[in-house]
Amino acid sequence: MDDRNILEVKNLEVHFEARSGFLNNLLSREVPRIRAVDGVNFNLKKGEILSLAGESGCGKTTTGKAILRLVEPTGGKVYFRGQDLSLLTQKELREFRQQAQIIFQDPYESLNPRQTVFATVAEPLEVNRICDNTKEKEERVARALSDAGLKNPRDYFIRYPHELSGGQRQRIAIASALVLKPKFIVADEPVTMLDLSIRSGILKLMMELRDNKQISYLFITHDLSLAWLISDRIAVMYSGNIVEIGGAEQIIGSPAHPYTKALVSVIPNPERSSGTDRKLLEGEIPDPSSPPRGCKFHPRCSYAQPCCREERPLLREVEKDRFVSCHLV
Amino acid sequence: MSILEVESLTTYYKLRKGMVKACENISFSLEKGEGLGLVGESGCGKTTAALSLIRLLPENGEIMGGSININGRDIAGYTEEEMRQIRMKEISIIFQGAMNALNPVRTVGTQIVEAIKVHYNHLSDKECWERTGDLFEKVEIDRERVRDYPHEFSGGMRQRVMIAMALSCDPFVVIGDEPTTGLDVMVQAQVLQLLEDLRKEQGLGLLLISHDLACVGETCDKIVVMYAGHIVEYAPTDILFKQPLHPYTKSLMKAIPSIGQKRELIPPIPGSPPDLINPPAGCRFFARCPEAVAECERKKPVLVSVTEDHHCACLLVDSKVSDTSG
Amino acid sequence: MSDNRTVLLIKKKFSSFWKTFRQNKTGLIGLGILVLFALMAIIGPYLISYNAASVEEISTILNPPDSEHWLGTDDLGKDVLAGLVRGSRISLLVGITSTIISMLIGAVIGISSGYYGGTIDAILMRLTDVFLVIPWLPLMLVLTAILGANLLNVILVIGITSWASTARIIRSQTLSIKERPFIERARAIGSSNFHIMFSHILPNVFPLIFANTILVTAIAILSETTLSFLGMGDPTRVSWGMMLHFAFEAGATIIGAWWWIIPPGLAVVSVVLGFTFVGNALDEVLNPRLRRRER
Repeated sequence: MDDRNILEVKNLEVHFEARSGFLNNLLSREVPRIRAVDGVNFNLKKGEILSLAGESGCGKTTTGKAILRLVEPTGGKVYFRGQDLSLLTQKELREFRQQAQIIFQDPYESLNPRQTVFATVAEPLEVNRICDNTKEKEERVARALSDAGLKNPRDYFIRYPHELSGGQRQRIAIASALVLKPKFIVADEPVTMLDLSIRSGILKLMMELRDNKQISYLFITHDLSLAWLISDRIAVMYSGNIVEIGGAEQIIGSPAHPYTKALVSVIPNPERSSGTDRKLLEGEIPDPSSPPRGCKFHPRCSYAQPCCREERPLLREVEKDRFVSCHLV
Repeated sequence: MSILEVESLTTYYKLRKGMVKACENISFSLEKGEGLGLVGESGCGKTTAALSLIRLLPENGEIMGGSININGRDIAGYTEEEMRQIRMKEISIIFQGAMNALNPVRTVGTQIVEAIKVHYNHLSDKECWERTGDLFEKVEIDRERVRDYPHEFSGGMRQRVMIAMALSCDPFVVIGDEPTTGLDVMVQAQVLQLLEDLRKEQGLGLLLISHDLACVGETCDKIVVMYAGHIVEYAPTDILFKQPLHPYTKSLMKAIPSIGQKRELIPPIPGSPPDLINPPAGCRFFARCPEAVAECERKKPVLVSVTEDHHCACLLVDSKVSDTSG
Repeated sequence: MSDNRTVLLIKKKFSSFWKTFRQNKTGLIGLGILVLFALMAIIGPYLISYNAASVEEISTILNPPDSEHWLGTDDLGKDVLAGLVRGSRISLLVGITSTIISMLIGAVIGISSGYYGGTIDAILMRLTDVFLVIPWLPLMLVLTAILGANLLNVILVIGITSWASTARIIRSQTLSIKERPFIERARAIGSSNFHIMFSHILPNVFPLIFANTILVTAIAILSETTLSFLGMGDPTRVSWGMMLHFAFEAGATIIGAWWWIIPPGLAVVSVVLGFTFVGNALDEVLNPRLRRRER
């Protein structure tokens, strides 16, 4: 393990058993397996922001949750600071969760509506029995809130989520992650639900935290332009696999995989006169319980060759720190 | 003549606490085959404006004034019965959540046929189904799928079904209320492309309501930018993007990541939109505006023409205009 | 500082609650009825004496209402109004305590069954089904017959026979709350299952429990009346049900002593109505889905 890496993900797999009806269970013994995450590999360096980009259903959120073991992986290994997470005991798992946190997409839903801001942010300290002293707890909560960019943090203590704006709520969610002083945060579409004018504030905050507190991020997003804006590297996922991973500028500037090319081409760009050079893909993402043979993308790929239908491509290094899984690159 | 002409439309919501001035003095026009984008953040009144046009406001919403001309007739004062005659047939709407708009226990075909029958009762069942099949082909879905149930379609496909339904009675104005929000980028691009093609091929007037300036910029000919219930800027798309005048429009544009240029995060617009029950007396953007001067707090800006097509409601721009002309 | 905060918080919660509750007319009527009966139960017994008539006063037996005995007297010459006042104590006491028992059982079973799911859910819900389908009146009768008819047993019996529907309601609410992202967030910060159930699910099902409590109290009071009426109540204490029981045994209907039957009957009906009104109002206030749209 390279000790510059905070996280190494090797062949991570999350397969769910599809829920099938009573009759189906009776008639056939085979339960279809949904391959939500189907062999994902990547490393995250200390203080790095890596974006996991892709359409809904590509497995990006499941990957993030499986790393934190909020969803149990069915295969593969995740190493956090050299430690194999699948071997953790219940107690060690709790310790790990203090170092690795998650920010959810919907700030309207990820905060308990019946908890005050203080209760929400102090909760991580309480459940992990970190400090019992009320004064110190207040101190730490106030600091976390101001770290999350809220001025006069104590004014928020007895307010409820419904009294706050979306941006403020997301800051509260960030504060409740920061209060444990984590080293790694999975940010699951943290700005998708927010208005454009508030987004940059939250993104800026995340960047500052990276710079000041050396927090590494796995930034999950469907928006490539956003990924480009804030991350060091981008990994593009399609149907449970990473199809391309590399530096943000390189991925957006010269995408190599046909899927990435298509995604980059549809990033809205007002300066382009309507849709002349958009590469619209036909069809839809494959059914994760029965993905196509060979390259999963071949039915929608305009460059597909016979070999693409037979053999599944592996992630290969095509230039330094740039990996693509395509036979034709 | 414009197919849709809205003149000083004002819509309020009644609340116990007072009147929410959700939408005031909205004026714009839409030509045949044209795409108009109505852009703004949540709570700016864009959806209220759209619902006023098609008269589907919630119970406590009321059109307080202004006119809505469709093909030269003012429908602002139409009764519900009169509205029913023209909804779908002249003006129709595509909503954001396509799943909720379809009845899950009936095939999509029956639901569209039902809509057709309301306006074309002279058509036989067979002709209606034929027409539904044609509509499906128009929105690029296999015509056999008319017999499928809503849950058998993916999100993007369902939105296409909604488009087919909106087109079922040949309206000439279609309102899309965030029709692609919540869809994936690729699907969003497909749906927007479809809307654009339909608009050009059939001469539809498309009113696209969205919070996403970049998206609208790509598909529409003209853009109306709204803030806190007012139009702040109204211009053809290329002019608006080349030369935005209103400080709010400028900051919205800066917030779009411009790929290919330097990567930097733009400082957010501080503060939040004003309370629309007691809106500020002067410019509603005053408290958040980086360019505001003292006068902005007192004096209400009006929408003035800067050039023939370019309208802006900002005292700073207004004074520049009068300076140059005088 | 933190005490101050708690006080502020309670004030804030209460004032917003009261603001919404005030709008509900039937709720206010119900609350009025309940306050009246509560006052009656608390201070009433100090004001009116409830003694059997002595031998000399034989003329006071079974008197219709007059200026001395506002609601007349019974076959022992006791004042019916005084009995009504005493009875309100017992009826409310039985109603409220047995409801608390029922709620505790219902909440624990409902939350754990909804949260854990799987086998635990299956077992607990089958148990609930049993309690739901057994006719509760015979069950109560049998239980009091076995345990003996005293006040504590009546409370216990009503408590353990009335939790099933509560458990069902709370389970279904738990199922929907457990899928919400803030529960996942709670897991992500390392909370234990117990902590999640206690600090996240309970506060969110609490309004439902509370509104339900009020409704179950009405049923409990009715059950107590029924049990007593059927002769399974505590014979040493006067409750409204006991009054009705004695009135029937003494053949009050045949003698035409209406003043002996109607007051306790009306009292039961109005208290039950009061609780139902308040319960429905609370349901509307505390359950946002039923709340009238504010926007």
